Amino acid sequence: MKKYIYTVLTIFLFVITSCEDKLADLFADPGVYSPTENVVPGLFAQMMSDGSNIRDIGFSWFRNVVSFTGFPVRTHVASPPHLSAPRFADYDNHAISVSEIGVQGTYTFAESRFLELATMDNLIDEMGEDEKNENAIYSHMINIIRLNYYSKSVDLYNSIPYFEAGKASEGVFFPAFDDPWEIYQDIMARYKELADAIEATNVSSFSDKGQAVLQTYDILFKGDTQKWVELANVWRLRAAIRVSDVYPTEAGVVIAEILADGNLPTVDLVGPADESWITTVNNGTYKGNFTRWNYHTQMSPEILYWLDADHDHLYTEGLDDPRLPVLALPNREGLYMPISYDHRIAEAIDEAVTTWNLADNGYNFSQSTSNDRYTNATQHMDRDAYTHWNNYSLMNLTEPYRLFTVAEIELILAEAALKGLTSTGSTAREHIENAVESSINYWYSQNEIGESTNDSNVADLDVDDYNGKGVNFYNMIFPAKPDATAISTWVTKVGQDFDDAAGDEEKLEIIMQQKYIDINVTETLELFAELRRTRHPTLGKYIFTDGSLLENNGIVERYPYNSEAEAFNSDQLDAVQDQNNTSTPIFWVPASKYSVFPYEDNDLYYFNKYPGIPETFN
Amino acid sequence: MNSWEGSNHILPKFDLKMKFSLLFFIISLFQLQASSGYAQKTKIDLNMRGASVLEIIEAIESKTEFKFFYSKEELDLDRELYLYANKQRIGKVLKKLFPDGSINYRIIDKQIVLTPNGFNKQKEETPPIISTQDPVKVTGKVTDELGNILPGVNVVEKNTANGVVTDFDGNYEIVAQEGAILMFSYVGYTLQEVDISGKTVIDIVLVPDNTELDEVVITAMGLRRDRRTLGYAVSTIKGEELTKAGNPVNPFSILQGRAAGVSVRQSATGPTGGVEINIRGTNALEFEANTRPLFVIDGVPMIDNESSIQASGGDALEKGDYGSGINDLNALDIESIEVLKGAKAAVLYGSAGGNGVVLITTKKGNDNGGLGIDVNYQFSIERPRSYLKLQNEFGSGYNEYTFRDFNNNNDYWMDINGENTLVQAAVPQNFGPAFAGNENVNLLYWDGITRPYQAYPNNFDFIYQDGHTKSTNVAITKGGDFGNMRFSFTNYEYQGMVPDFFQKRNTISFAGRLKVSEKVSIEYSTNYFDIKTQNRIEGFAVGQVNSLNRDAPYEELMANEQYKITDEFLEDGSINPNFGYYYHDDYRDNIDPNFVSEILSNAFYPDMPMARQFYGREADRYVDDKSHLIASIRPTIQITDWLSFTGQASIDLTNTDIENKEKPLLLDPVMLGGEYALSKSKALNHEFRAFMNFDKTFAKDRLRVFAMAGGTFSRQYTDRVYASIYSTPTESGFIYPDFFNLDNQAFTDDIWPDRTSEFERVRGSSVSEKEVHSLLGLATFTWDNVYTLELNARRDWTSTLDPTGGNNSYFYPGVALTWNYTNLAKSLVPAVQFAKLRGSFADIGRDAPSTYFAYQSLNAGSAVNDTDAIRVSAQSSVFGGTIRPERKREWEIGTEMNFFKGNRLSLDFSYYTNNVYDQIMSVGLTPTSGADAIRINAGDVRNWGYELSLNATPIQTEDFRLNMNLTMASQKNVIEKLYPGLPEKLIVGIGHQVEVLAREGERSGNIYAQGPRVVESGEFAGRKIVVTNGTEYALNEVEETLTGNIYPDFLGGLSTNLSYKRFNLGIFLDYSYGATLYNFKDYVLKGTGASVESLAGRNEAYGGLAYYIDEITGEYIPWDHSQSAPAGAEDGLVYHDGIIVDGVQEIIDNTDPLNPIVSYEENDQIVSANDYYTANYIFSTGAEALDGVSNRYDNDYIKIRELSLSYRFPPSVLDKLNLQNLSISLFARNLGYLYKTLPNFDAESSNGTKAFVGNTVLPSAQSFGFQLNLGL
Repeated sequence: MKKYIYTVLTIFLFVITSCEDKLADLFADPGVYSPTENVVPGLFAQMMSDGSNIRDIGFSWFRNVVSFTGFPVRTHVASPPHLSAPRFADYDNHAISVSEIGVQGTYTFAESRFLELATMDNLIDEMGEDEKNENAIYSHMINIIRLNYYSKSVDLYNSIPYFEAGKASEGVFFPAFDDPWEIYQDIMARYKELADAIEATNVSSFSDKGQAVLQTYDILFKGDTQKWVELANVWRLRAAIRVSDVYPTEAGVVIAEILADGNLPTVDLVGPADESWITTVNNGTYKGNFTRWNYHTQMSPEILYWLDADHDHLYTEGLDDPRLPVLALPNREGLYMPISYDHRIAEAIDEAVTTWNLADNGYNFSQSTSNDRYTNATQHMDRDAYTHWNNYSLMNLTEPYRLFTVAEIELILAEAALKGLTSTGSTAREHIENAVESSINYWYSQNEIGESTNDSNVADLDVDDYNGKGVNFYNMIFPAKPDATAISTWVTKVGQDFDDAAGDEEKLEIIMQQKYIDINVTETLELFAELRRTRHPTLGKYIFTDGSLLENNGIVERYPYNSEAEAFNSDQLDAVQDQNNTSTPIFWVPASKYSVFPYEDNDLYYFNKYPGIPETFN
Repeated sequence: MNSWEGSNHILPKFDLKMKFSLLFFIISLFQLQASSGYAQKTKIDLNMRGASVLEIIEAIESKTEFKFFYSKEELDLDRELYLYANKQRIGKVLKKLFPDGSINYRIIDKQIVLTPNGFNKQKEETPPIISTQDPVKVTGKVTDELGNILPGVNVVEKNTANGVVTDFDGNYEIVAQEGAILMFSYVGYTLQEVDISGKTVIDIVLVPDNTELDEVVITAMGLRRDRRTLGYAVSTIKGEELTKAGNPVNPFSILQGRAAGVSVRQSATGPTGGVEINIRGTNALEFEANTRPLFVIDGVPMIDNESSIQASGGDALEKGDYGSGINDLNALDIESIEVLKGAKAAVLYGSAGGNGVVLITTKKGNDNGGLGIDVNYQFSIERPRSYLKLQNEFGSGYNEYTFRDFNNNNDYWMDINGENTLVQAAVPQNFGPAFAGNENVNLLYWDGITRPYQAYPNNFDFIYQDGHTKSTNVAITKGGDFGNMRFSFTNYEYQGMVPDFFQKRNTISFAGRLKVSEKVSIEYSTNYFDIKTQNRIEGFAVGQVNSLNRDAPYEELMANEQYKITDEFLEDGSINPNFGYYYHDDYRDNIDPNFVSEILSNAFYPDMPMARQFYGREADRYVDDKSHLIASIRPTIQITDWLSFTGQASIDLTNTDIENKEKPLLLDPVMLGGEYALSKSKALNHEFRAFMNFDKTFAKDRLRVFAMAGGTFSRQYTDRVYASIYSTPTESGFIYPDFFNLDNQAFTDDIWPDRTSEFERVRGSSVSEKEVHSLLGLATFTWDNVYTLELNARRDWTSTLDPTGGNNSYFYPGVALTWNYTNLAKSLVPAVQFAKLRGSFADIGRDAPSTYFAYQSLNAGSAVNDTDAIRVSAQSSVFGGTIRPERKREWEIGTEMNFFKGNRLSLDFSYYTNNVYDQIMSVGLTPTSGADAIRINAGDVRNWGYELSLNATPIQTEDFRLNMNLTMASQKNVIEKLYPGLPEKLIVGIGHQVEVLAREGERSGNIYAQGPRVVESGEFAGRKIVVTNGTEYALNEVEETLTGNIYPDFLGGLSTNLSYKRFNLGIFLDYSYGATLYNFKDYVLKGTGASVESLAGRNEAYGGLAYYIDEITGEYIPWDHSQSAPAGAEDGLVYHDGIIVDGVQEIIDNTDPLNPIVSYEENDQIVSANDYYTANYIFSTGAEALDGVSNRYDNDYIKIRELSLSYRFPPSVLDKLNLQNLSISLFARNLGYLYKTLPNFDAESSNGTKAFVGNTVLPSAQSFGFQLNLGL
């Protein structure tokens, strides 16, 4: 009997103990493939291709607008008033509360966009010297993106967690909110460190494989590290001008340093010519097709007013900005026709839009995301009473996207020169003239690329008398670039206007108008920040359904903190609760401008001078 | 060991299954002999010198469960003898006791009937010596309360030695003196005496005698234990309780209130959907954590999961609440359900039993049972019972002037074929003109027919129909020398309340015990379920509620058959590109297609459930087909008298195919649906166990030691493969619209870029596998049946935790102590029949909440588009060190007491307190930290509560018996610790307005909501602040208010049974108190003006204020109801539906942005009823602006769960029909509520398991039916 017992027990113990290895095997998730090669570059590619990051490096303009469902950005940037028409009902009280901002959680200062950064740094730390040499550059590059992102967050919120941010893996779960000026100082210093580090990286010393990997994985500049250096510098320049009203000395030092380094781009800094890698982010829904709802594609009256300088609703060479035809598509009558800030009119249009009989009597149309540009353009020309952005200039599937234009550099330097922050080597007028000329060239070049990489049916555009309206459709979409003389005439006119402007504020108004024209809808957040800082350019003001105006002088100084901060970091948030409103200006707004608001009293400022077609609704 | 080394080289090549097969094979070679039956199993130790037969009989009775039946007069019981027995069976002992053959003995299970030799014959042949009357022959049948035959019942003529025993069919035949008294006695039943005067047929129903209290309960690992020695709480629900009111679709759906401390809640999808089951209010700080108990059927741990109707949102393959494996079980096959509630009770199950264990034992045969055939048939009607109170006074629209044509700019006026026509616009709002007074208004409906403006009060009811259930069960049992078996087949058909929704089930249960030899027996159990379900109820989204317009004649609209299937081919032979379901040409010709589109876009699209509800259901098929096998074999080898081996191999295998055939429904120009999706999944639980059992007495039998030790191996595996083809809103995705096959895909690339979630993808697969290996042991020491000490230990090794450093292994101990203090209690209170005190402690562990939760990795993704750069992503959660097993430590004390003879009153009370600590959870972090969450061991939640079960039989007479059973349980808890620096954790939230938050020092499950902001100080201090436009209160977004808790404070049930002769009336109530529910559909009904509650303020009669609208400023100016509009009134109208929200307006002067000035003034803004209700309640989806403080509901209720009336036919009828038993019962379930606090909805209208949100308007089902039981 004992034999039986021993036999049973032995078999039993054998079975139980023979499965240990299996447990270890099963611990790993079979649905996850953990790579062993190019891990650091892969982490870089992941962070770079994160849709949110792409959005923040300047691409995909309408994400800046559309994803900000709240009121302020739409109100304050150069996008048309109609943008916020669907939200008007929410703002009937003419004031803006925390919940009505609606952007909470959309633009968070969330380190989660750089989730892989801690892992990347840990991996690099553990590497041997050679390997570290070839991998550290990815950390430098993604950190440049990260700094830009953090500076934008400060621009929206003021104090944010910065120095302790992104350290969950080190056990810091509740990062403190830091002083925004200290953040900005650090950001400007770090840009330089990173630029220097990249400059010091000798890519040619990489192994052949390392060089190939860099070209493959640097999906932004294809291994052209000089462009990364330039990118760090232009963003640093932007940061410097932002703080220049409050900390002029520090700003001057930084600008002087940048100019001395000589690493500013001399041509527009743009993304790769073939930007298709971006087009599938988020499954391609914001691949840059200029195809959004009408609210997002109609042109704002201010920009149209500045471009159509003689206000005759037509482009006249010499009298109008040469960028008018390349930035704007006329309406179905061939006219440049602005839309109203008056909500009563906007509402009427909304209702017209929602009827199904658009083709017969509608006043504008909705561009469809499923249409190609040709279809949208032709439908617009068929129907719309208002001016849209020229979708062939602004967006294309494969056009390089804007990171930073020379024009914007020149406008920043113009301001620096105007304020005497440092010696820029030129006068403010020279800078602004350079800016206008460069911007004209930039936008025509964008339009030309649009043509060359156009939809298959571009030939159909060549219609002399489109729709019987006496409009040459092709020329409307692809306006011929004015000759050098005409451009020069306009450039000089702007320069002269600048000289003629009575004082510094008036000159700043012109600089900011030019910034609005050049940047327009491509990077609305930058304009929103600059508007709050300079209180320029002067814009129209919303009129609500009942005829009243937006309260609080229409300006939102900052965004309330997002709900994650309240939910997960409330103790730290408490320290900055006193500024958790919409009315505390960001630290870079000079106190002298707290009570200055960049709005004319009402919509009539532009509308009376430059009427559109609202009488139809009266 | 050398001989085994060789084996070691061979065996590792085998997989585990083979190893176990080998193990059992070797065991079978032992050729040991099996034993069975109590008499066979029970060994007697006796050493009695000079003892009388009577003394020996009493000694045997005291040591065993045997009971002797005899007539003192007939037997010589005073004879003295010496009897020595060393572990001998009763047969041998009796042979020694009655060596001369003068006494006949018959062993019937635990009964031993002693008669003088030739007893029965002699009685028939020889009349009694003293006789004053003639003898008569009396026959009859003896059954139990339920009509089961009772063989072996002693039938003795009182005061004589005349007696017989019932045969296997329960029949007896005795010759006795006229006028004599017959005594019927049977172990476990109350003795009955019957006067035979004038009777020749006497059928007897024996009533159980609870005084015995030798109840054996099944405990962990299937161990049968005497309830008297248990140190922890176990609730038992007998199978017959489950089927008293018919065979339920889901046996667990009716468990609520039957076991103290077990909360069972059915979801809105009814019995085929998920059932929330929670023992001792188990809760977790991780919402995704499993809080369900472990279900074990005949030793097989079942696959179980959460399910919810919410899942049906956008998932092509989740069209409803699929329930889980426990939904499949057939109540008719269930012998009993034991609920192991505490940690100690479940400790042997290790991690899996952390939330308690539900042990399900299926019916088996009886070794002595002979052949029995039972048939059960039931039929019931399921009747939709809606608690909605819809108003029928106002129709669609925004105000009383909806029908006026203002500048042709009104939802009610449309250009139909060139004419400005008044149409039924089907806007969701029901704030339109009153029906009264507008009888002459005619509207064009979208089927092209013009109808008068009127209410259709039953348009909601039209959607639902009566369902029914048919169930037929045949069970065959057989016992004998081979062991026993039971075979049961059930055909079940459930027709739900929605057309085309059905479930068909065929269930086979085959179980029993096989005597291989004297020492080897094998228990086997096989349950196979083949279940097909079609068109499960979907989680109707907001669309259905938004479509409940009071002037929508759905029944008429549907009756018109506006839709038809178009021809597949055009006349020229080409494929019709519009082949599919079309708006019928006859109607389309009558009406502007734009109108149809407009209506549909308003009423259905994109919230299309109503459209699909009406049209899709007929055309579409969502079918899930499930094959579910639960099987186990359990060999037992009696190695020595005190040592045995038990093994078990079990499997729970489910294969599920889901096929969704959704026809393209073309409602020009919009297409709805058009999808074919296929999913195949497998879920497998394997478990193998092997134990050595030790059972021996010491110290002259005063100490009994029972011990077992062994190991288990369990493996859980799931996989799923799915694929689909689909249409877009404008284009069919099928080449041939009516051909459902994956190859029939029209699109070759992914044209639906928004489909990003796993379930929306066109194809995919997933695999998950988990193993747990365990060693465990148990030892119990019982002294004099008074004190019992039980020790448990278990160690698990799990694959879900990191194996490095042995972190994947954890140990848990348990100890329990029992004191049977009956004698002491009796001396104090004579009425006490039984008294027990018990206490236990256990510390158990649990592994990760999901299989790969603790696995940290980098994940290689796809290449960045058009580049070769392969993305590598990190997890969005960081890990706070290596995840350790979580722990639960529980103390429990309890008592059981019975009072009065027959145990007319009994109580079972438990108090427990436990700490669940080191919980494995994911804690949300501010993304600024660089991670969305941290996965850690954290938290310490203390739970405490009591459970009370009271059973009383206040009335018991020969014919009449009233029995009541009350259960009650209450649980409290406090979150003692979360994580350092973490003040709270979001468990689950609905928008930002309503959140379940875990906060240190507070109760778990607390709900916080945003309520109105109030003025903090000054003249208006405490007043609520109204938003600027006056429609609603401004919400306090900074501080949330505690509004309730998702768990009830206490809950339980009351079961009442009333028997009169052969009738039995059962009433079962259950109740819940203290839980909070957010019912979003109720808010929608208010927001759209469909519910009665939204009538206030609609017009003057309902308290509405008069006002006009200033045509210039648009302001609402107060006016008088009786006065006509002044000049300057917009359109010259006076409105009568004005409401002023009671509160103050906040005025903020922001001239100086750094120092805004805030002031308040009384709110005097008039708003329209439409604006008021739309703003204050949910108008469309979500909870964007909900005042979660005002809009909470207590969900207290007392529900009439069951009502049943049964009748057992008497033996006289049975004999004529040649039946063993026959009973019929009428029953009703879910009759309604005696009390409920949730207005408009069923208290059980939650979304699914683990839900505190009501989000559906589905009616609940009331069942009415009958069942027939017969035994052949």
